[in-house]
Parts: sequence; structure tokens; C-alpha cells
Amino acid sequence: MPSDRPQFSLPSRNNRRMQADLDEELSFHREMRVDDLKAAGHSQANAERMADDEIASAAAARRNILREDQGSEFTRRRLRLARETMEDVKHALRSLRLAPGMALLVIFTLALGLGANVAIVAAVRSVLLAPLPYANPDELVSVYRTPLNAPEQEDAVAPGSWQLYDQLESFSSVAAWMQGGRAMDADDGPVPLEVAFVSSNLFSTLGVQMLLGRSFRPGEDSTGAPSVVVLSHRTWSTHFGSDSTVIGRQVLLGNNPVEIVGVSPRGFSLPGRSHELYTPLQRDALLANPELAQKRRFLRLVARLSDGTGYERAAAELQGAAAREALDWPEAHEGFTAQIRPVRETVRGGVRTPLLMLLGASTLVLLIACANVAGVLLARAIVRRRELAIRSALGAGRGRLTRQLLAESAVLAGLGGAAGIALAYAATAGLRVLTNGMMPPETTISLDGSTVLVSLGVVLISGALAGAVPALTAAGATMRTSLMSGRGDSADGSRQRARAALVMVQTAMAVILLVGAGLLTRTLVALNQVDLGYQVDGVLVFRVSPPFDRYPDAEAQSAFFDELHVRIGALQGVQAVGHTGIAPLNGPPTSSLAIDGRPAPGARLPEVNLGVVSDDYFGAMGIPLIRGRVFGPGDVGDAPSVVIVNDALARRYFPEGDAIGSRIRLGPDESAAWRTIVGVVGDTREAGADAPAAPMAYESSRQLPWGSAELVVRASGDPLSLVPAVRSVVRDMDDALPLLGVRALSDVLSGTLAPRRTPMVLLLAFAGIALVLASVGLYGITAYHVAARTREIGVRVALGAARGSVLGLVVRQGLKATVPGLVAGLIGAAFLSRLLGVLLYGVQPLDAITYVAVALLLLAVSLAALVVPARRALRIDPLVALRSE
Amino acid sequence: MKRSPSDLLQGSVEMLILRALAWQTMHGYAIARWIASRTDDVLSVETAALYQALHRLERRGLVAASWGVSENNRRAKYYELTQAGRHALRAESETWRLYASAVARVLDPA
Repeated sequence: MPSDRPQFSLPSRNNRRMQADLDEELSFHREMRVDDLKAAGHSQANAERMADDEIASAAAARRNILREDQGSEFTRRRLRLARETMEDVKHALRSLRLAPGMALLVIFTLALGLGANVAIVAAVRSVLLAPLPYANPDELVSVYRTPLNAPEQEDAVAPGSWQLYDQLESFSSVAAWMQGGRAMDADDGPVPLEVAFVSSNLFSTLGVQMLLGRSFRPGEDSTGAPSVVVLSHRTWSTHFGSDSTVIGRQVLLGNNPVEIVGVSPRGFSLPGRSHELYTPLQRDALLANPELAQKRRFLRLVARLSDGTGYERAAAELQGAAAREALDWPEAHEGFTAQIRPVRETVRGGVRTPLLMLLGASTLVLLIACANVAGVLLARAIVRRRELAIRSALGAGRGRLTRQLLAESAVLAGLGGAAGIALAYAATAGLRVLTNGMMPPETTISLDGSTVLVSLGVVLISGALAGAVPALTAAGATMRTSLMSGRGDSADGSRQRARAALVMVQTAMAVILLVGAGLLTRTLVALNQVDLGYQVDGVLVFRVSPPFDRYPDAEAQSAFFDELHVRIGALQGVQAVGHTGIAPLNGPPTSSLAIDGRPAPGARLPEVNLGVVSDDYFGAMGIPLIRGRVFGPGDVGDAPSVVIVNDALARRYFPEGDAIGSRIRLGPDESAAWRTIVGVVGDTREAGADAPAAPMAYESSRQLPWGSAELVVRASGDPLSLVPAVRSVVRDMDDALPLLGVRALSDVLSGTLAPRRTPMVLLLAFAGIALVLASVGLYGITAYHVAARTREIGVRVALGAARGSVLGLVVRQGLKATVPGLVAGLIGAAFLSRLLGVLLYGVQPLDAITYVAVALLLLAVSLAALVVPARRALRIDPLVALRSE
Repeated sequence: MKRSPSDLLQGSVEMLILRALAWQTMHGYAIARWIASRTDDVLSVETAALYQALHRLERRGLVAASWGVSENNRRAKYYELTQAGRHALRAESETWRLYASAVARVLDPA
């Protein structure tokens, strides 16, 4: 019956149908007209002709009518779809309110899975996929020196090598930079800054436009050129208040006036390291002494490939040049070659593996979450059989029912997705803090709109899909069976098997994550147990650099440091003071080692670590003296030259135990005096816990003054609490000396472990989530089994089955899903853990302890998840059970 | 309210159709006949205009259509006035009367 109330509007007509209707209507009109005309006395032929004339205009209008009818029909159909969707959503919300526990579980599960995943995707996007702050970054390569027998090592390059490589055809330009620290008088007072000394072509090689002012001009990297600096964006905003008139201003840098000529753009850093200030190095001074230009290696090189030059060709040409060098300067270069690698890898190589590992892990978590949701929805579909059957019997079409079920899961997915995005924002902020020590410089993890949209889309689709299967089977099966049978028809059986499969897959994925987390945890434990050979806790480190113009010689330098030691040593809470050229965990300088009376083993001398330390350094750092003595005040410049070696050096080069009294020479200068070994001290891991202790030689700072030293102060309490007192001591002695790089050694150590700890913490979190989700899934399926078998259990109990056998029934049922999942997970982990390779230390990918522990943990958690349903099974009263159906 | 002549024509056809349907459910041909006979053949509606107007009214929900059987036993599309159509007819008739009397006063200022 036609009516204007939209709920009962005509069923939609398709286009062909509308056309047929209209044609029929018009032909009816024509016939009626013909009849009338005939009745008025016209002949049949006349009447038809007259009617056709009248109709002719209508035939032309026919197309218009049809088009407009069809247009409005389309609109109406869309409106109805929108209205029905709204109804579905409303209905879904209503029915979810009736099952708040289930709804919250699903939303929470999705939010966890999605939040974790989106945050990691955001990190991957921000760190791995964001553009590098250079023009055409694919043409940029880092050039480094590497031992032929240890190609993974990336060493700094000598100035002479730089000159040579700069002439190669493969590179359109080769820029160099080196690390330095200076104090600068900024607008807000003197500040210590990380300075990069760079070649004048550095910015042009990287293809970076200054935010303000200009970069360096050719020739500005030679002695005598006016002193100029480029500020980093952060320095400019922190210390100069983002003042755009800084260009041209003079500031004092290490007591020298320099002119600010530019400000680098926001987000710019040199490959792999950020700096606060850039100033030209002095190219000609570096090259002045041809021998030192080959032997002193401290430059980092970055090169731009010439047009059309591939990596292989450039590497081959570079290695040819390195081979020539080795012939020309065997004592400097023999046994070494040069290598390139894309700047992209220099910047991001270190974080790619952990980030991709975490991406994989968080994806597994999301999959587990989806499996859980699918399991819950399957269970719900079973529970709602009767409701659906009744609605279907009352005339709801199968399509409509399916759509309503889909709407319900889509609403759940939407709510879960929204909660997940909120969680992802929080997680991203947390990730930013957590990954502080491991991310490339100048990268910020942020959640951008497209990531959010894409993941929301993914969760909506996957949520709807997770609901689709149960919805389809439920809507189909219900009509036939549900009204007739009580419970447990065959469709239920297959749904239960589907749930068991889901639990199995979840378990397997959780096991993989647990194994990964376990291996990383074992790595960190192993690293924390490593004996570094020196004390880390309570040690304060900072650098002071008494300039040679005011402390010109060894005596003045030693006098300054002796006084400093006395004053700092007198401070409350200070246990010991010493100093060294470069504090541990920064990577020590190396030096060649020659032994008196022994021919060099091959053309090239062995390299050992070199330390230049004060008398009390070993005591302050807790490095044990094994034999002989440490340095004393008598080891001054004109006293006999002495040296102390570590145990590793003594054992390797003096296996007879004859180290003390032997004479060695450090460094390439053959005219330098031989030094007598006076002591052997314990080994130290200078580069961090994961690098083995290397042979090391120590010279006395009295005999080799550096003009710069790192003070190590051992405190009885928190080392950083000493900073104000120490700072005022230094100011009292020389108010132009800043404290540079003030840090607690334990923080430095913790920083070196950050690239391992952060992935471990995250993976542990993911594994924990996975374990919880998998156990919830297991709980759900077991609880259902117990409920479904109430009657059977009742019969068993009535027939005298022992509690043990009932318990066994339930536990067996649960383990049926868990154990295959566990086995599959262990096998999967055995394959996947190999990918963790570089992240592991002191533990094998197939570490038995980890695998066994994971298996036990999983079984324990699974049994815990079985306890509640199992107890319910034990409480079943046979009489009630038998009567129940 | 400004109206162009064609609007007027269209509007008046629609009004006439609504008026015709106010009495009874009719098919298109009967509506045309009704209009012609009620105006003593002074006004006759072009067939094209009639069906365009009918379909437009149907889309706007002022009339509803259904298939029925005609007096000569043929399948015919019948139109009836909806509730909205009745309201529209009242409003339109009022407007039309005002308009017609205004025109009459201009043409015949007695």
C-alpha cells in the first residue's frame, strides 16, 4: 500500500523497471485516448493518428521524466541505507549495553593491540621513513677507514686520506668534520657547546640551505681566515631567543671572537650526531705535517657521489686509493682499507633492526588482539543463537541480521579503535621518552594524521571481519536448528573448533614474543653482570680544558690539575679524584705499540688503546694495580719516561710475565723516547659492556700534558649532587674555564645500554600483553566447554568419577589448544630469533634456558587460566546438572 | 514570491492535478479528462506536462502511485493524494486565488 511515510515506501525499483512502468503508463494513456476519440466518431486510424500526435510531446519528455525519477530513487535508496545504518548502530549500542563486560573486554583488547601497534608504526614512520635533512640523500655516503680483518669497524680518517679521496672521480665532493667542545658566550652567559669543526664544503656537500644567513665559503677553512660560526637551530632558539638579527654578531668562542654567519635549519644534524655549533676546521694546518697528516686520524667524512656513479664503482675506486696509500705510507695505512656506506644507514642503521623487530612484535600483538576479539564474538554468536533465531522467525531477513551483527562488531571496532588511538598518543609520548638514547639525532617520534587514519581504517575493517564470520554462520544456522535444539548442535562444534584454533594461534604468537623478550632480557642481564674493570656507580665525570696560552707547559698544567684535585678532594662527599684524557665509555684513542728489542711483527705495529692519566686515576676509578706501581708526582717531564699497561697488554705482548721493566714506545714518532713499564693494572672495558677489554697502555699526564682532561670524581652519594660545589671550585681557580660534558658515569653506561634496554622493555611489554590476551582466550574457551558439558560432567560425577578425573577432563580440554600452540610458537621462535642476532649479547638465539622458561611460564599461566572454569566444573551438582535440560 | 510564466504554468498544472486527486484516486488519463471537463475544455493539459508534473509530485511525496486495474480492465497507474499533498493543495489554492483575483482586478478594474 502506497503511503508517504518513508518507513513503508515502495520497494526500490531498478532503472529498467522504472522505464517499463513509465512506458506502460504512457501506452495506457494512448489507448484510453484512442477509445475516447473513437467514441466521439473518429475512425480507428484517425483516432490513433490524433492520439499519437498528442502523445508525441510526451515521448520527448519521457527521457527527462525517467532521468529525474531515477535520480530521486538513487537518493532515496541512499537515505534509506543511511537510516538503516543508523538504526543498526543504535541497535548495536543498545545490545552492547546489555553485555557491558563483553564490550569492555573487546574494546580494551583492541585498544591495547592497536595502541601498541600504532605507536610503533609512528616511530617507524618518524625515524625510518622520514626524509633525511639533506638534498638527494641517496647520493650521500659516509667514507670511513676500516681494518682489512675487521670490516665492521668504522674508523676515523686521516687528513691526508681526505685530500686523496677528495680527488676521486666517483665523488663530486668530500666533506670532513671532527668533534670538539668549546664554551661560547651566548646571550644568556657562557655555555659549553658541542662543536663540530667542519670543512667549508660540508653544508654544500649535504645540500643544506641555511635557515638564516649563509653557510661557510670556500677558503674559510684555512688558517688566517676570519673566524665564523653557524649556529644550530636549537642553539639559536635556546641561547639567542630565535633572534633573527644574530647574523653578523660577534660572540666569544673559547675566548676567541667569532662572527655568527648562519643558522642551520631545524631538524638538521650531521650524519649520526648532533651539534650545537659549526665552525670551520683548519684544513691547511691539518695537512701541514705530511707525516702527521697520514697518522693522526680523527676526521669523519661524508661524500656526495658524482652523477651516475653507483656504490660499487665508488667503493672500488676508493679502495684503489686506499691501496695506494698503504703502499705510500705503510706504517700508517697497511692492513687498512677505506669503505663507504649510505648516509641513510649511518643515520638509521642502528635503529632499523630494533624498530623493525618491534614493528613485527607489535603487529603480532595486534593480531593476537584481533584473534581474541574474533573469539569473543564467536562465543557471543553462540550465546545469541536464540535471540537471532527469534528475530529471524519474526521476519528479519538474513541480510539484515548479518548487517546488524556486522554493525555490532564495527561499532565495537570503532570504539576500540578510538580508545586505541587515544592510547597510541600516550604510548607515542612514552616511546619518545623511552627511546631517547637510541634514536638518531634530531628525530622526534610523532603520530601524524595519516598514520592514525590508516590504522583506524585497518582496525575497522579487521574488526568488522572478525565479526563477519560469526555473524554469517550465526545468521545462517540459527533458523534451522536453534529453536529446536537446546545447545551444542554441529554448527557450535565447528565454531568451537574455530575458537580453539584462534587460541592456538594466539598461544603460538605469544610464545614467539615471550622468547624474544626472554632473549633480550638475558642479554641485558648478561651485560649488567659484565665486570667493566672500573667503578661506574657514584662517579662524576666532567671535562676541563686549561688553555695552553695561560697554562703553557706540562708544569703549569700539572700544577693546575694537582691543585684542582686537592680542592675537589677536600669537598664533602668526595672519596677520590683523578683525571684522564678521555673517560671510559667514550671510546679511547689508540696508538701504535713498539717494543724495545723486538722487531716489529710485520710492517705495521699493533694498535693499543691509549690513556693519559693522573697519579690517582686508577684509585679513583677502582682499577686494581696487579703488579708494580702507579704514577706518582715524581714522573715529571724530565724524569725517566714511564708507562703502565693493562693485564691484557701484558699477557699478549709479554707472555713470560716480563712486562715490568720492559720498554715500549707509543705512537708513530720514532724519535720519541722509549718508556719503561712500571706497573700492570686490571683490564677495563673502555667502549662499554659489550666490547671486550683490549690491550691498553697508560701514560702519565705529567709527562704528556693534553691541555684538556676529564676529571673523575668518586662520590659517596649521588655524584651529580657534587656538581655545584665542583663548579664553584673550578670557578675559584679560573673563572674562564667551563665544565664541559658533566655527567654521571652510570648514566653514560646506562646510555650505552639504551639501544638494547629499550627494545627489551618494549618487547617485554608486548609479550606480557600477548600472554594476558592468550590466557583470556584460553579462559573463554575452557569456560565455555565446562558450561557445555555440565550435563556430561554431572553424569560422570553421578556415576562416581573422582574429582581428579573431572579436573583432568577440563585441563586436558584446555591444554588441547595450548600445547600445540606452544610447540608451534617454540618452533617459530627458533626461526625468528635469528633475526634478533645483533641485539643479543652473551646468549644464543636458541638459548635453552629461555625456551624452557617460556614454556613453563606459558603452561603455568594457562593452568591459572583453567583454574576458574575447572573449579566450576568440580562444583557441579550432579542432580542439578541432570535436571538442567 | 516571484514567478516566471513557465513556473506559473507548471505550478498551475500541479495545482490542478492535486485538486483533481482531492476527490478520488485516478490514473493519468482520467486526471487529464477531469481537468478538461471541469474547465469546459478551456484548460487542457499537454500530455507531456501532465506526466512530468505527476512524476514530480510523486518524487516530492505529494502524490503516491500504485498499479491498479482500470474501468476497461487494463493495468493502469493510479495516483492518490498523500497527507503532504493535501497540505500543499490547501496552500497552493490559497496562493492561486490571491493571484487570480489580483490579475482579475488589474484586467477588469471595476
